[in-house]
Amino acid sequence: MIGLIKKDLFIVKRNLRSLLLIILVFSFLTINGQSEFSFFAVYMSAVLMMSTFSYDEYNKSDAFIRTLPNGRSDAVKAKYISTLIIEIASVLFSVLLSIISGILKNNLNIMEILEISFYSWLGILLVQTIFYPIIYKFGIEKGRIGIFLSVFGVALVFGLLSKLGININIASNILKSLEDILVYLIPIGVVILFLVSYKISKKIYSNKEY
Amino acid sequence: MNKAIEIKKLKKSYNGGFSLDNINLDIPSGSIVGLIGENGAGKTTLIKSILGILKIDDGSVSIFGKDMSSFEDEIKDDIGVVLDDMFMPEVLLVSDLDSIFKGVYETWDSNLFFDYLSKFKLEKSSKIKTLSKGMRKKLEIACALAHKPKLLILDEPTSGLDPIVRNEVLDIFLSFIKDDEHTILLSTHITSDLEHIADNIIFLNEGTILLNDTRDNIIDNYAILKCDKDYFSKIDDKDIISYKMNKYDCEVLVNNIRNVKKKYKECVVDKVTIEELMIMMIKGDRI
Repeated sequence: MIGLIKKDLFIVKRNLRSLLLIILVFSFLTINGQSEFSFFAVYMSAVLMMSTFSYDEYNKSDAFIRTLPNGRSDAVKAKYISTLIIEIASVLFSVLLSIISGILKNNLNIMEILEISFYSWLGILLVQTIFYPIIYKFGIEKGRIGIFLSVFGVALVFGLLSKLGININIASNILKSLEDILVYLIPIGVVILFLVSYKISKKIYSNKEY
Repeated sequence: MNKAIEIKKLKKSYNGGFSLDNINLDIPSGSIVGLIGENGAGKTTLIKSILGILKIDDGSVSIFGKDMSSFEDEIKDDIGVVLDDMFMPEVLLVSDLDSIFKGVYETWDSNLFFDYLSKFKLEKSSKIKTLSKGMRKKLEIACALAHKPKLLILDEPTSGLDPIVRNEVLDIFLSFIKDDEHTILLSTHITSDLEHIADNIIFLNEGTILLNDTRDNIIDNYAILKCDKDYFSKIDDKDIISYKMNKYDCEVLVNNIRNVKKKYKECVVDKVTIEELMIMMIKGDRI
């Protein structure tokens, strides 16, 4: 499995230079604090991980990986672990840059930086948790359509709710009142969903023919 | 005789209707076995079924005497694979593959891999996508060999290669097979390659095995008998495997070349090439 993790990390490494450049440019563009920047850094790492699916699909690597020892059982595990490695590295990098930026701008707030980076990461991880099984089922190209439809679907639901006169603020107020519990529940929930997503992806992959 | 691969009653069908139908096959250890057939005959499907890339509908595949469905990972440690247009992402560097496969195969030998790279004149720092088709194929072969497998399964390993590179690749296969425990199963369209290296030929057509024989038997026994159209009616039906009517004459695929030569002295009887045999068996008319 280590070999397959390395494969994804090498792919990311090949595109790292352009990523770092984008992040650095973006870090200078974000003037009002760290929130957009932290989210952007984690988002870009997620985009890079998605690109590993594209490379696999383009080169039909999934079929080749099936011929390797433990290929069937480890391919999905390796992808989920690579995702965690890349994103943790990216969160640490964004925290570091945010601290530097905070010092330079004389508005350093470490707790805020950590909080924003952590929740940005959880948000992106949640999105990946939902999308990975879709990608394994339909492939990255068709999966993109699925991803678009699901994002569009969520937007549509919220649009309809507001059209029907249902006040989203009520839900947001309820969430605010539960803030103390949610601080713990959200990370636990994301971890559970991540594991469930892994199990689903693994099942899809092992039944899929290439 | 030890069997490297044993396939029993293998069935595989797709929704589109194509299927491998009841394939029974033994591939002896220490041999090079060539899988031939026209496009869509089922060669790649058979290889993918053996390797577990496809799920078979029925039957069993055993490799080195072990059932593939139960010992897949253990068996795959001893198999080197080259698939047609399926490999690691081409954005990777050649040297990345050493690091990757070291984490995949317990028996991966980095020195051996780098030896192959220098033998094949492959640069470690090259991106896979910058390699020509021939160089890329050599890289895939180096990866298939560097963990010291006992069995090589190769799908079209020489397609798209120029004759010089093809010869080099065939030489690699011949030196691999010098070890009695080593076996090669390769599918190819280039039947002349098999005339040089194969011990056995398996001819697939529409998902079934049409012929499974040694190369020597095929080349020594099968022949093309050429006669004019009037003479064709004098040929015993039992001697005709298939035939093709041309404008002025006809060609008949026959078995048992010695008997045929004695029996039809007026006709020209030539030894058959594997390509001619394939064409006559697929395109020739039957009595």
